[in-house]
Amino acid sequence: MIELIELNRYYDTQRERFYALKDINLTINRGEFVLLNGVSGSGKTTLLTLIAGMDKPNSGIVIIEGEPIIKLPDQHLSKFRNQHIGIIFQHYNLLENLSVYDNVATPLIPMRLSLKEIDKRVKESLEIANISHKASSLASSLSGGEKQRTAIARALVTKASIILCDEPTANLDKANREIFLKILERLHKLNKTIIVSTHDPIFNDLDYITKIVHIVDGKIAK
Amino acid sequence: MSSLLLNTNIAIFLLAEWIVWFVLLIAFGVTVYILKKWDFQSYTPVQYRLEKYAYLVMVILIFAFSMKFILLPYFIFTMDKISDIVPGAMCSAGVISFNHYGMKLFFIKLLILLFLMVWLMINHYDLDAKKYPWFKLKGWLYLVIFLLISVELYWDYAFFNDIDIHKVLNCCSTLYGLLEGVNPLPFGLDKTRLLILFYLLYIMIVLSTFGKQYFILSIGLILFTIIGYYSVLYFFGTYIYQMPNHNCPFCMLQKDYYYIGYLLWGSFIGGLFLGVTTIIANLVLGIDIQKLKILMVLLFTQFIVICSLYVAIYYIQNGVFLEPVKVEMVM
Amino acid sequence: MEKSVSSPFIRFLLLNFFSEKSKQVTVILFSIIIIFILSSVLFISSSIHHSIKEALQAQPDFVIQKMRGDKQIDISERVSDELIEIPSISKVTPRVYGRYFIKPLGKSFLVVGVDFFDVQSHRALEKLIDSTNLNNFFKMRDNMIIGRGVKRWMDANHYDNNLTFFTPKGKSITLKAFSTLPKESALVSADMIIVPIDTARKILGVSKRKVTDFVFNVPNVLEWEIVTIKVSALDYDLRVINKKESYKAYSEYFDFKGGFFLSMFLIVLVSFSLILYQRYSQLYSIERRQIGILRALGWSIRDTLKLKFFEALLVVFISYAIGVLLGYIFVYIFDAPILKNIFLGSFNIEIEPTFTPVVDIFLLSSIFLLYALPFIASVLIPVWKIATTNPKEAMV
Repeated sequence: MIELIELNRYYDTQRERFYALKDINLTINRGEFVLLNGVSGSGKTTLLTLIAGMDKPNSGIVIIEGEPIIKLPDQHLSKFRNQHIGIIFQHYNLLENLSVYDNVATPLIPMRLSLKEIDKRVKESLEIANISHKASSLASSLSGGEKQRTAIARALVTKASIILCDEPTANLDKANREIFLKILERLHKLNKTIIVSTHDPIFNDLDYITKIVHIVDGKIAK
Repeated sequence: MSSLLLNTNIAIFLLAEWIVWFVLLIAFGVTVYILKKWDFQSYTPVQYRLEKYAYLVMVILIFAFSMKFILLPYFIFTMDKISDIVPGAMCSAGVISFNHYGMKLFFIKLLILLFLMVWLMINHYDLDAKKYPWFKLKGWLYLVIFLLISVELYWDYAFFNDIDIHKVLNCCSTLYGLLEGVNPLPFGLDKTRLLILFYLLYIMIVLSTFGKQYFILSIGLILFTIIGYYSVLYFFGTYIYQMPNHNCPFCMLQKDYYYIGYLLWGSFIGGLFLGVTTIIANLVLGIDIQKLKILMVLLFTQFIVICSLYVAIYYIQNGVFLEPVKVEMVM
Repeated sequence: MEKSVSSPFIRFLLLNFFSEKSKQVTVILFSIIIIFILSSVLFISSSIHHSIKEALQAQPDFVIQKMRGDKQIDISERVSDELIEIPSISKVTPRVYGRYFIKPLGKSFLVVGVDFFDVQSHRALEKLIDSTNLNNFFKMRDNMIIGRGVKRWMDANHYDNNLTFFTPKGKSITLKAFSTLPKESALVSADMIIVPIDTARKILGVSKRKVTDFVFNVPNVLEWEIVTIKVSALDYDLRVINKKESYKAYSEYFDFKGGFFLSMFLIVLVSFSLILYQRYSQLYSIERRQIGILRALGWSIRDTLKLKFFEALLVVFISYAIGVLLGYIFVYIFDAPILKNIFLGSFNIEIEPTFTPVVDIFLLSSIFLLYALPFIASVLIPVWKIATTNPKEAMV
């Protein structure tokens, strides 16, 4: 479960204080499929960043799975993120010089697992994301859709219960978008909490969306 | 300025010490800044930056520890090499006691290594805890370390600068030798009692460690430091040199004895350091570190074994134990 | 143990490192060159030190000479009786030796006279030739043992096996080369010619009751100071040299050269450090992204620090290993062309020494301390900066 209480994130410039997010209150339950709707610059990405613990708010509380994550020291915060949160970035953010297999294995390294265990999990994730056939290809040689699926596999490999997607379909063609949606549905059925930040209308008609949050100028619109 | 400073090895040594000190100076500045501004409860970007700076201090200290660890034997080796140039000295014993800086320098180096080890241990557990509980302790400990290292740097320079290679030095026989009628052993012990204490203290240390009796361990360690030192000097060492009157702690560091001195003193001092670290971990931090305890016991065991082996081998080869020759006072 | 801490990490480290070779190549190349030069110099210097020490081991503890002004003159045999009176001295050995100049070239050889009955010189010689040969050498009056430099000169000038000397009295003496001194001692013996002591007297014009100097040993080092004082007291023009002083003099000489080299090296070091610092800071923007991604995936600062530092250490160790190896080959297999002249420039005959490999941990740590320590120190801050990149960077 994710709870955001009185969250504020602002940046002080010489002239003024710019609020990326203001007075955010939000609760997301386990297994929900949440859509964050809004134009670019509205604060969706900032919100995702705060949920992932990758940034710290100026005030407010973020509680994930009962753990107030803001005050966690890096050692603990990183471990938490590693184990509970999977992220699919807008531009995939793969390590171009490594293979698909190694990219997917990357989040597992801090976990101190054996090579055997890592191999098992990576293969499982590649299977779910339907990208096993490209396991030994270099990430730089992949098409957009394939990179997307690699990113998905990577987000799953730690068995994280929360998946965050930042504009996942922005760089995909129609066919790949369909594929992506199918995979998302599979993940939803696995009872993962999924939060998608997007302004792609293709998401609007999905029947398994449990909540739509509109963000306008850093605030949640009613 | 002594011409010794131009000696390649000494120049390298001093340069290395300078670089380490300089890097630690940076850590010093950062630590002071962190100590002043640290406020764990605050939400400001400054606080988050401070956490990152704390990692810089950690990185610098790991670097310093590793380098100091290498520089200590290097220092001893260098002194050994100089003993060739300096008349009278046969090993580093003569060189180190040449001026009043020598022994002080050696001990401060040991102290610094110990403190660094303790700092790193505290840091490791501080990072693992959720609220950085020993943050201030670390900070102040570091300030002490930096002070010690600055003094050390000065003494490094002063020590080498003060060595006059045209003066005759004392050899270890003058420094550690036995004079008729004078008992060099502490507490008025004789050799037999010394040895009994030696082995007993070892057992006491092992038992108190695993029995988690840390006050007893502290006493054991303090006593063992003294008894162990004298036992090596006046008993075990003689079996290494196979000469009943050769009581030098430094000669065993030379090639002639297969550098066994490094292993022997290394295990001894290593064990002591780990012992102190364990005690601090348990009594100050309240953490029980199994690995540390096992390593400490292993090191002490290694120490005991090496010492005993030399005696055993001598006995097996010769059928008797060494008899100390009476030294006559030369008139 | 199912929990394997290092292998996936090391695997990742190596994969990452070798897939981005171009980044590291310049630094590695520079490092190798620096270590190569550094280790070559240290290898040569340590070899020379070692050879001198070896040569001096065979030397007597004390050498007593008679001086007139700053010139050394022959000393009367009587002095030996006075020396024996001193309690710490048990046996005094006379020596006859001197420089013999070959006219046209201005070159000279060191003619050394050896007494058949003298144990001390025997011991010294035995380090150079074995004893059976020694006995045979002394059997014939006109034998000589020559150093490599002499042999080379003789061959170059077609002297066959014989050399004719002209004594100050105008007589000529022809000597036959009995054997050549081994190359390991070339540093001290290259231009030596060893002859029986009376032959030496004739060639050098030293009268029968005089010698060039006296030597003796004093086993107890603590007595050296007293001996020096007592001997000096015998006569105002006696010079007392002890073995440690010689070693010191040589050491200081080489240390001076070494010190000079070291200060040059320091300049190189400082520039290298700055370059390193800069280079690693440059990599900042490129590496930032990668580290940001890792942090976003849940790598802690400790993990990324470990990654980045191990990468730097990998550079250090690769360069160190290759640089030292190259230096070793250069000095001990190819005998360090060009570089050796810096160290041996002022010697008499062109020495073609073979450097005997003297490599110990101490030497290797010296190289390490001079290279790796400053290297790591220079990159501490840039690497830390990269490793503590905010994960937020990955979102951008």
